[in-house]
Amino acid sequence: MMKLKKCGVCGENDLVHKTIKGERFSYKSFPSYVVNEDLLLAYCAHCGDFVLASDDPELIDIAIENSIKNDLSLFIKNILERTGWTQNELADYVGFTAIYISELKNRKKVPEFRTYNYLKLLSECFGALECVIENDPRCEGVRDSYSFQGSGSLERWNHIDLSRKVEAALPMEAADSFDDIEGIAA
Amino acid sequence: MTEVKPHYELETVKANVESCAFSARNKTLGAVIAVFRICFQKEITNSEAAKYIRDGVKSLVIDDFARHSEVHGGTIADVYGKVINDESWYIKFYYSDEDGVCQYAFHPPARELLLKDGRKISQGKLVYDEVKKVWSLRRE
Repeated sequence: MMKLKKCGVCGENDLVHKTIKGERFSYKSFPSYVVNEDLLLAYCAHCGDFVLASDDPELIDIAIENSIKNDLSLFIKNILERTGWTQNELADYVGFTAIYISELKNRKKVPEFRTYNYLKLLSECFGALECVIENDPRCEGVRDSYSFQGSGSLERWNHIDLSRKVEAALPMEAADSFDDIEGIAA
Repeated sequence: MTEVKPHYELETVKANVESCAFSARNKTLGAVIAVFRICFQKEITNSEAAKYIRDGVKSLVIDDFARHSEVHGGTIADVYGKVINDESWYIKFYYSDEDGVCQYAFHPPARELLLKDGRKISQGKLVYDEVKKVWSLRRE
């Protein structure tokens, strides 16, 4: 592999090494994915961009794949923790096969952009999971635990007191430690 | 009027393109991934995009040459235009014995590109947003 000596854009020959963690890269169906893995690459501080050697694209792909797999595993664990569902129940209720959910949770598969977004919404966005399972009679217990007042209208959220919204949107440990929640609600 | 010729021997560039470096990743790897995703409805990785760029450079002929472009400190880059699989590409690189091939641009042309032999390469279907640093379909 050729050692990079200077930036092709500005000619700066004082390249540094910088991690790609936090940087946006394109990958397959992901138009602009923020990488959450460390990988040191040559970087031109003057241009604010990486200078990639011939082998770097392959390393970037590996870092992105690991990062996406880690994200998905966390999304699934978060949903399971919030709902108390098994993996099989999650798969059945939101429309995947149990094997696929298991593969995602165990970081064995890189999902498509749309799958990533779907599970991210269910994991991170208040009301998304409740919306998806709204008409599923098997999920009544879960809906009740989040003060779900299903009427099919967005107005239903107006009836929920803010402290419950915050609690439902946070992982349980975080909600428990959030002891000033009434002050925020007021 | 003197004929404008490529600054770098095309065969030398092709022989060294396998070990080329990529600058401006959004205008090389990112652009190819976006064209595949939006125009070809195919998903490719960064390493597949890199291979597509190398193969694209290897497919160039002298008649694809368009003009020179100064990139930095008097360094001359050669600009080529090529239609591959019905998509237009703006291709820019320079070469030195010390640095090898530096792939500087491989993306849909922002505007029509006139080649040395008189052919015109149409502007690309995608346009780059310099602020958001993403490619999207050009709005007519």
